[in-house]
Amino acid sequence: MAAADSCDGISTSGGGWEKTVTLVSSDDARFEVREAAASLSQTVRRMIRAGGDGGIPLPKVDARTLSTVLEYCNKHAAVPAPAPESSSAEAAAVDLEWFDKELMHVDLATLCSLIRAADYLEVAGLLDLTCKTVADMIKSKTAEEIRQMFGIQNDFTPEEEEQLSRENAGVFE
Amino acid sequence: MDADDAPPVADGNYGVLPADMLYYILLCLPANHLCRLRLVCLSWRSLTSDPLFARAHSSRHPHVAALHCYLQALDVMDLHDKIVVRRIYLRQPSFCLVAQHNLICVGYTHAHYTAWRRGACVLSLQQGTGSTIADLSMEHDMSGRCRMPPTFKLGHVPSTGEYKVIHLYMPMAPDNSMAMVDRCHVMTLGSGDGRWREMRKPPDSCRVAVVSGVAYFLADQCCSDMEPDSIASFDLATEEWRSRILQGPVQPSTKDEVRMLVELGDCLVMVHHNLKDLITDLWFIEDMNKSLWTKRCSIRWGATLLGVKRIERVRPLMVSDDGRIVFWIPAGAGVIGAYDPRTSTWVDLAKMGHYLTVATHQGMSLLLS
Repeated sequence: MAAADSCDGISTSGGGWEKTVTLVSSDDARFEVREAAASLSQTVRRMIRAGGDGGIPLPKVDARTLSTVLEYCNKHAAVPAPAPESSSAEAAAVDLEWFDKELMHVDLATLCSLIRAADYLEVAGLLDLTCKTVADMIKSKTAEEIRQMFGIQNDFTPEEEEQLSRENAGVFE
Repeated sequence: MDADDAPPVADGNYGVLPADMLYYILLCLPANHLCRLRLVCLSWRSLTSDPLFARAHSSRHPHVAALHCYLQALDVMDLHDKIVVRRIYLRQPSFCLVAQHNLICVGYTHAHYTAWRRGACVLSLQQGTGSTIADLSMEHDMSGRCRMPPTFKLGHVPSTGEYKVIHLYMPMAPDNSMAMVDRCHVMTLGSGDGRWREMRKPPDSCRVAVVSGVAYFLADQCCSDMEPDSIASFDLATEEWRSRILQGPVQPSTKDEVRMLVELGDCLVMVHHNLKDLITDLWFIEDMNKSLWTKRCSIRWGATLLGVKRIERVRPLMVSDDGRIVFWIPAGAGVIGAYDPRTSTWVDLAKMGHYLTVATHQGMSLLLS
């Protein structure tokens, strides 16, 4: 585990042809990706290390979701190691932020499958991004709005609900 | 027997979000929003009330309590989201602030007719808006002027679960000469007769840190009966002084240095500011019996780093899970920053605005359970 964690930095060779790997989605779509990008997924990185031919099977991710995940990985793997205080690094960070924002302009169902995929593929940055997006959607909503949003039953008794809201009123004004 | 036959509610009612995904999502939200989300359904409530969740949440969202310079108020801030999650208005203008777990103690001094009234308020955020759980006023011996405002410390006694408040008082002698700490009191919160008990023979020291139920007093240099830089320990459970005197890690040399004791992650730490060379060293105690200390962090402030001129006011607040040390830097408007000792790099966590003093506050997330 320590050995796998120690090589965290993804090095890009700065132009030229790079090694690629093939990922296979649950619905048998094949994606050819740069290894540097695919390695943002710890799951894929481990499978590359383990070796094997004929593409890496990812039975828990469908083609549509995988293509979005790879879009994210391609973009983020292309960013060079940050050299702070340089204007180009700042511009790259702004560009990346904008890209992330655009990528998250999807409906809730898509977001949920992205979270699930990011969790399974262990793409930490994407998991963080998608969870934050859903968290921001939840933030300003009432309990009832959230229930409708996620299709959740209200299983509190009226007494319990009453008591909980009283407790909350005390803790945060 | 029927372990597999889980009750039907345990599996369901997450809607389109499975429980593990919900866990990640709710971890992103600050504590004040989480509280409201407990109303969604039983499974959301049990997830947010889980102690494991609370621990993960508080490590991701470190909180500090901060005393406002101008408003008579105390703010609890989430450093991760850089927001005030709770503001409490105080009854008196207050000047000192200590926190332990979920309790916050603010010290106050104010003129009351012809005398000075001073004391401390202990607040618990669990108690809702009427959150003062104790107002420890001391107005009986107000004749003398204080050499400096009284100091309060809050300590937790692990063996009994009690919380105790320590009060240090340094009056001005009648001839206006500088006086020593002449009185030191301790009081148990929540039980007992609510009276201050006098500590016998306190050392002349206002530099105190409480770690795991023991209060450590760092002797002042002008102290007569103790070596400078030595540390006396007061057991909060028995309220007795321990016979062993700890030795500090550095021999006092010049006047251009300031030392203080702090508690960082259940460890006694000596902060050593070298004012001449603008270096701050943190010495962590390794072995109490041998007075063995290790220097785990040495910061060269220099001219470029934050432009801190008065480093003696810089104070470490906590050690984060990734080993970075979080500091309160009351320079300009005040900054909370994290220093990584491995890379010697610095990251600003929050611009603080105008706050007098800041203390670590654990337990905002624990409110949920």
